[in-house]
Amino acid sequence: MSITYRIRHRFGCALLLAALLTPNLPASAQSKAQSKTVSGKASSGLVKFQDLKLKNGLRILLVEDHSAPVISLALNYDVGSRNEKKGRTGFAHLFEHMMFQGSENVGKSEHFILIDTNGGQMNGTTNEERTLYFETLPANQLDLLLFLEADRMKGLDISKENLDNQRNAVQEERRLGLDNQPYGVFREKFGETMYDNFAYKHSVIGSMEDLNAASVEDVKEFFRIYYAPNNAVLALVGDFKPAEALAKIKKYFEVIPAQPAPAKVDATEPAQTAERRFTVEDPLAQLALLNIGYKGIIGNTPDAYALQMLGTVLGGGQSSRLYQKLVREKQMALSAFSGLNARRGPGAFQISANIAPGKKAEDVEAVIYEEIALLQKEPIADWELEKAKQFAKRSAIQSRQSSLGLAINLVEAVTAYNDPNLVNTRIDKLMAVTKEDVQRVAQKYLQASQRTVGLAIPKPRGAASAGAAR
Amino acid sequence: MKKTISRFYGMLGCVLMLTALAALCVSPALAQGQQPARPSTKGAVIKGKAPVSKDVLKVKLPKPYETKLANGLQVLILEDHKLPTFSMQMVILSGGLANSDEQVGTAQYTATMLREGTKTRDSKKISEQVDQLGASLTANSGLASLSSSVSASGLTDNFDPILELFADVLLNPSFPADDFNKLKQRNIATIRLQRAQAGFLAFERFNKVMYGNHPGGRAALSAEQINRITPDTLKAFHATYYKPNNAIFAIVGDVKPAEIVAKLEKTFGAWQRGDVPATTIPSVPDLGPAKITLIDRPGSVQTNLLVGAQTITRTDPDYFALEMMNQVIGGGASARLFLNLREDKGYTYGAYSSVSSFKYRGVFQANTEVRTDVTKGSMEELRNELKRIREEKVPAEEFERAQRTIVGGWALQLEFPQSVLQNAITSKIYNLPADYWDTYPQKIAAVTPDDVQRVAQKYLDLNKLQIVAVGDAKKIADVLKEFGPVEAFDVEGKPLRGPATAATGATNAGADIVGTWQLTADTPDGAMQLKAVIKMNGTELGGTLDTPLGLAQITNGAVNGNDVKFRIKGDFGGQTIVADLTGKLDGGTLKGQINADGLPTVSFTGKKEK
Repeated sequence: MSITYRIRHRFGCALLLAALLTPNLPASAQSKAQSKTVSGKASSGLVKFQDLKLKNGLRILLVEDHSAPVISLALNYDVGSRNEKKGRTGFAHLFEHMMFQGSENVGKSEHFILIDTNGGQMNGTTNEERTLYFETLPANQLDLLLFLEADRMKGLDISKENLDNQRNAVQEERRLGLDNQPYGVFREKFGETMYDNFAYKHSVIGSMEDLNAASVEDVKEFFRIYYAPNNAVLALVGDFKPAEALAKIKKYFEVIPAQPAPAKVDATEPAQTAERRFTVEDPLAQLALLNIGYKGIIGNTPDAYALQMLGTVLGGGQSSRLYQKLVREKQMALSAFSGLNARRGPGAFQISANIAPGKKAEDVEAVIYEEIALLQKEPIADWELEKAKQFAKRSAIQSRQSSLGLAINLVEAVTAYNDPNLVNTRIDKLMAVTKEDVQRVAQKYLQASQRTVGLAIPKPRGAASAGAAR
Repeated sequence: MKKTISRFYGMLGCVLMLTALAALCVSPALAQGQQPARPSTKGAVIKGKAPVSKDVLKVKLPKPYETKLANGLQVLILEDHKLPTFSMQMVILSGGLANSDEQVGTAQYTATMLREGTKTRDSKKISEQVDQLGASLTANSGLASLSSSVSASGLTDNFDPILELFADVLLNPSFPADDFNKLKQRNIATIRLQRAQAGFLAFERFNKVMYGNHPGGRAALSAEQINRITPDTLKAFHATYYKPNNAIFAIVGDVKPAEIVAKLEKTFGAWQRGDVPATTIPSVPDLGPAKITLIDRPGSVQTNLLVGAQTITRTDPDYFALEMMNQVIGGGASARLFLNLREDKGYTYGAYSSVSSFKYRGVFQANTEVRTDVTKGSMEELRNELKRIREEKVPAEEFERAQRTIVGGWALQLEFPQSVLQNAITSKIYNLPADYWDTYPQKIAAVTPDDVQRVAQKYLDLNKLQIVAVGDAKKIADVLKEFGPVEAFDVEGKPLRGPATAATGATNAGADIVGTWQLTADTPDGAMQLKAVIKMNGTELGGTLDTPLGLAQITNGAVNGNDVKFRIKGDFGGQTIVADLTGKLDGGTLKGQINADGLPTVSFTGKKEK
């Protein structure tokens, strides 16, 4: 009821910070985000969807739902920072901003205005894997919704002026989310240290230098290669009649020509043979932060589902082992999380802890390894597995509350795993995980030689503040 | 380095001269005459080719079922069977506002500690049971809130055990000393994590600037304040305020009212009512003159800017006009601040505004984070946008868009019945009329551009505007000084005397000229005593000049290094005389000349009164 403290990331057209900081987000947030699924058993029935393809290759998923007079659209382009080349980091995301700068029939920023003034919500977001655009509107605005997305899939109105303007906005986004935040640069360095393959090695937001180098020609070429209907999937969920909606989708989208399929990204990661470790001095931090990551896990596999459960047991919620041990019992950390960042390429299992003042990071690290050793040695308790499953079930059901949540889950499942039905089956895969599975993946993945350990420590005072004006 | 204090007023100097009072009477027509109207939508191009349905979907929001238990507990139940889930809340109608400054934080810790132990469960047990049920269970209260709340949610299948846990923490907390001490230690350490964040520093200082010592200014607890709280204070707060006749139970989800009421009677029926002391809320003090408060955060690569003005209480009749004003200025990506500062200028990733209102006066706030080297341009644009909404009527088309933005989204609420229930709780807390939410769209539709201009002029008083900036002082202090007097603090909240001046070695001239001066003018008729009272009104440096012939107005103040310049205007015996004063500051002395067309130049010297 007072002025609330919030940093707004509204309308970022942007990467959600989650995407940007993938290797370092509190891991629990990641496991939550990636377990958004729908279960036939757990909820009031399976999601029924139509799965179609237009002549130009655009994949369409339709879910009719008349529970509210609302429609949501999610449109995923199969392009993310993993597709970027050296010298052009951050480009996929910068390009996302350009999608709001105007097309043949829509002026610069008119997209914002049309969605806002018709009572809608929208955004765009980029991560390593894909670029996602989405909108929710009252149900009588179906034509507007489809028109807006189709017009910018047809072609963009690209000017140097608009590119420069958005380059500035993106550079501020980087400063806001990374350069001006404690641990921001550290998190970027963590990913760079953990990965060898360029696909996942660099940050989604990219370097200032590369952002400065991006040209209008780059934008045009990127659009031609990746923003083709055959490289995209569109989900429409809500209060519409499917036959009518499909006719409109065809009318607006089918005229857009297909393009040659983009080259596949090889995100394969060479085997890691020894622990990697680094420390950075962070002038903006006041306390130390410890991150530990184990890479190489491929999403939508039995191992990944088992690691997701393991993440909940080890570091999800106040009953988790790390919270109870590090935060409550020993008072060595102010927070402790763990979780899996699952994706089609090699993802990572991550652990993160804010070190309490006066405590040693090495002691915290030792406790974490003791807890991992325990997971490797003994099966988890029944109640812990039950807890992990309840977590998964609940977030699966809740992700269905809004039409937008379901639309996004559908397109994400297609882009990552070519399986929209994951919105129904993922929960079963999670429910199938056993205590033995959890122990097995702890042994297989959480090995000392496979980990990357990063420590951010506050830069000694004086060095930073001496420059300040006394 | 040039310092033009009155830069915003350059062209409008004459129109806007004088003081706060006069500023309120500015004629918009005159202002527009001097400054050409801008295009209505900056940073955007409207092609108008997209197919839009002009209809705004009329939706009827569901109404919660209401009842009251025998012990006075109010109950609100909203059915929503889309998913097999529920979410419930016990709102205790006393919060941080019930705590004196000495007890600040008591309501918050009372709530937080509910989860840390009951007569039959310890903290770990509660966490395990909550997590095992796939539930969430939280409790909180703000430092200046009207209420405290305990919330729980989960799957409908687990309703009974979740309700049992929920009731246990609510009714039987044990406030264990050991857990409380550990929590306090963690929270004290967490203060350091917060203080590392520019956004937190801005928020904290902004609250202080806007509310002074009023409880509304409480933003975060200090270590000392945390240490002052004991388990006994928490027990006392719980025993005094957590009473059924001082509470609202609200639930939304896959539930049936009859079943819920029966379960509530069983669970909370024995909860005893009691006399609850009324919370007295002091009125918010008026803001002082406009100023800039700088928090020096060495190494910052951005400047966080917050601009604030005092507004209204929640039930003020200007509420809807202010909502509309806010929508036009900074209500989203299609509002002026975003389109100007981001889409047109590229200064920032985002720029927004918001209006709050409580039982005490709320604030209007505009906020953005900009790269350090465009701090000046951003300050100018923020200022321009506030001036513009005061001086120019919002064009009809833009106004209608803003109305549609608020009203058009009504349908989307149907996907989130929690918000409908939250509205019902707000109605109870503020005693809003029964049809308040049903007629909300009509009330927005009834607001006119004239209303918005009126409230903009009333509340966005540029002479009292408060700006908080967090950034690297050695890079931005001088820039900020161009916009008004600057008060500086370090990240720990300690006042800094030097940052604004140390970087250049110059004196803080804008601040130095402010004050009362005794001047002696050497006129052809002999020495004349003059008294000049110079103030910073907004970014306008001006005041009054008391002469033996009468009172004159000082306007258009500008300071460049130690050089100062003013315009003097007065009616002397029916004749209006306009003169320019130029002078040189040297510590507490001022020397210079007064020039007026057709009159001899007069020299003066003077001293500042302590």
